Amino acid sequence: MSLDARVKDALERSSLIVDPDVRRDLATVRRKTRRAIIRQRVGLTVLAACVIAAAVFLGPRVLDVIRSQRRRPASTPSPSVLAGSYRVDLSGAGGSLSAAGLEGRWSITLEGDGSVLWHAPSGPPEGLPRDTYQVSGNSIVTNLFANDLCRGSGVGSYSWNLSGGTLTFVAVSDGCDVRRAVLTSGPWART
Amino acid sequence: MASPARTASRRSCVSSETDAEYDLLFTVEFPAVMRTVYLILHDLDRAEDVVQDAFVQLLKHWKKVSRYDRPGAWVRRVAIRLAMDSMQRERMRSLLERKIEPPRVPIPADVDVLRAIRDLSGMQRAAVVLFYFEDRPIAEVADILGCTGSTARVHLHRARKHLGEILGEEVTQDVS
Repeated sequence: MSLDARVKDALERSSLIVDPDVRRDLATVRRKTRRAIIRQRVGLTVLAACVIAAAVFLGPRVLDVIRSQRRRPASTPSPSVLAGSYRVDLSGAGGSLSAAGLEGRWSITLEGDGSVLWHAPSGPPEGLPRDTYQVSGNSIVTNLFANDLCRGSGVGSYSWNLSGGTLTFVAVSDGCDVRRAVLTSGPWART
Repeated sequence: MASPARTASRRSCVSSETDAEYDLLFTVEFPAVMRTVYLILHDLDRAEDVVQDAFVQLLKHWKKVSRYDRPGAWVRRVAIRLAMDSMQRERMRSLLERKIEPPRVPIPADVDVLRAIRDLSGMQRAAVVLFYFEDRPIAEVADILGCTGSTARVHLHRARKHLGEILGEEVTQDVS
């Protein structure tokens, strides 16, 4: 007997063992199908319930976050609100400026990216890293002169007011007398 | 306009018609698919489970599948795919438990051939059963296995070569 005939014969004989009870199997299949459909529906219902529950519990929080993010730009103006160049003449200002020989015309430029350029009566600083400022509402925090006149004094905090092209600062806290004197001794005119 | 009662009655008629069609197909195809799957799995209980699951799939998709030319081929394809999955799981289980049960053959049969078939890979085994037992041409074997004709031919060629080596038989010519 050839290989093909042997394989065919063995399979045919072996298949004789299979004699299913079709009626019983049909009933089983129908029962299994009903269960599968119920399981599927229950699964979908549970999934839908979870989605609704998540929306109910997390929805208000998500909305709060979105609202607060929308509010933030209004209450927190970016540095560009004050961006521009300002000038002040502190000739005869006296006090710490006079003692330090810093009387005269000062100018500062508040850049839109939060950096500050300054120009003292004696000339601009050479080779120093740029100072920075940060605006929040009507407050401004800056490390102006941190690498020169206010080295080691940290940052100063001021409130500001910009009206009709005139910028004024009121000191809130600042450990550097020179910075306090330069910023608050006179109104800064926008140039 | 049709009354609700008439609509319900018509729906019930359509439903019982499709039920009857399904039942008829089940009566004709279930034993045949069961034999094929048994010859692939060599396990009566698992074959029954697998084929029942395939017919559950058929019933769930009956509305769509009943419109096909050969719904029987669809369910056979699903059953063989499920059998392959089952075989793979069983192979993993056997490897883990280091236990391989010998085939249960109460009817006198060529046990050596059955053992040799059992030794084949899933696709080779299915190709052998479809080709030798169901007498299907290569194109149909490929269609049911979901592969190309040349791939099916390769499965069959390798299966025959393997069987020939184990059984000490000469494989004279290739299948056509």
